[in-house]
Amino acid sequence: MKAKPVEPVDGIGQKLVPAAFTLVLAILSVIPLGIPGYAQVTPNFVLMSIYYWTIYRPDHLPYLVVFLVGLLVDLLTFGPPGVTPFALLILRATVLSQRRFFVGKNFPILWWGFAIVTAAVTLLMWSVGALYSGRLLDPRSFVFQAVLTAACYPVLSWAFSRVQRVMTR
Amino acid sequence: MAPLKSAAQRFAYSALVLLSVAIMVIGRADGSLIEHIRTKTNDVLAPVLEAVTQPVAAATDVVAHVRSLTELYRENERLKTENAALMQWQQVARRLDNENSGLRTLMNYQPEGSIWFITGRVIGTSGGAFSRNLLINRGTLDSIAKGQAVAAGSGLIGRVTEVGDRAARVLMITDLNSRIPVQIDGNHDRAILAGDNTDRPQLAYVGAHTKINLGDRIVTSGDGGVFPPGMPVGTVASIDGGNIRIEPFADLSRVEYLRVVDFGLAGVLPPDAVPQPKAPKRPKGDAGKGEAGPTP
Repeated sequence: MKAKPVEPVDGIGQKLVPAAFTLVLAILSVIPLGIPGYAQVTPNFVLMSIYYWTIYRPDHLPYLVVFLVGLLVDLLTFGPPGVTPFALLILRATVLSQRRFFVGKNFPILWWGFAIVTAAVTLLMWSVGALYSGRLLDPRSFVFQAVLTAACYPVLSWAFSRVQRVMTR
Repeated sequence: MAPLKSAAQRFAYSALVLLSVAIMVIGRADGSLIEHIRTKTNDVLAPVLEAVTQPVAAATDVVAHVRSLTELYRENERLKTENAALMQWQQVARRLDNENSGLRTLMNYQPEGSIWFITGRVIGTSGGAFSRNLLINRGTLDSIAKGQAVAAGSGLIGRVTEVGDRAARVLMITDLNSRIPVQIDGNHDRAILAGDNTDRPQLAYVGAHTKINLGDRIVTSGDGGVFPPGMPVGTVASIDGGNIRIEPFADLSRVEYLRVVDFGLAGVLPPDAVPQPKAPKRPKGDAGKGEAGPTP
């Protein structure tokens, strides 16, 4: 009974968590860390966030948010505008359609799924980017970025799950 | 309710995907609109990025400090030798400067526009493989304008391509879209330094009879009037048939502070691409900042 007046606030707060996380990660991914060469192979944190929340709380991370965050990434990173929202929207739709398969599976399978998704998104972004600029882009940085992204997923996934546990308590 | 919701979702999905494609097409056709939006976004986010990069920069500094402490003795020895050598060069420079000004008076030479620079901090990187660029915490409020050269340490980094009030975008010489007119120091043979998103930009349009050797210094040629002639860019690092690669002098993979240099050259960029700052061109004294100022 005591906690009742707080509930609506909690409800809104909970709904905002996935979007807020994705937004913060989008901004963090352009922060210079002083590590040589880091800028080109920065792990795609936004991808991890969207993958995770699409599986566990798709209702709290709607298409509109995915689109806006993708657009922000393009504006912040000077990349060809529209490419990231396009790729992220397709990612969300694909993961959403396979959601039943992922929910309740143990972590290695989710990780494996993420690695495949990362490879697909990277390939998509690379080809759309090449189409956009009319030149073949050097694939090496893309490959490194994809590998780093897949490698960093367990850490972020763990962090998300802690947050989610707090949320649903 | 559920089918209605899923229909709405599907509609939102299709609409947003189409919108993304539309943005791609618009961005390709009319770059200035996207650029405008981008500049505004960067302006809004600049304070946030500045705040977030501050602790990161502090942490990096601490690491650098600890590292330099361990090498203090050796560093000191090296600097002493270097200082001795530089003192000699200073003498040479003074003598040449005197001689130059004397000759200029003799020739009735009109000096080029005075040079000034302003120091900026990097608050954003490209964060991906698409491009090589930096976001800095200086904009039109600090008299930054499009086309200005950007240097760090001992070499050219790139040029300013987009300017907002508080932030500006620097296109690095390694970016896919970067083309810089350069020359081989010493023999004045011209070429174009073309970036391709790799760490070593390529030397293109080299004359058929140009002799290039490993280690040759590459400097800006001043052609096109965007950069002044003679700014150090890098050295020839590899020659593989027609594929000549340049190792930039500046460490482009890890830039923290940089100088935006204005030579008062508008160059061949179309007039609308070089907006004249509304504020007085030179920061007046700039007492508050203490980091901008005319160079002798």
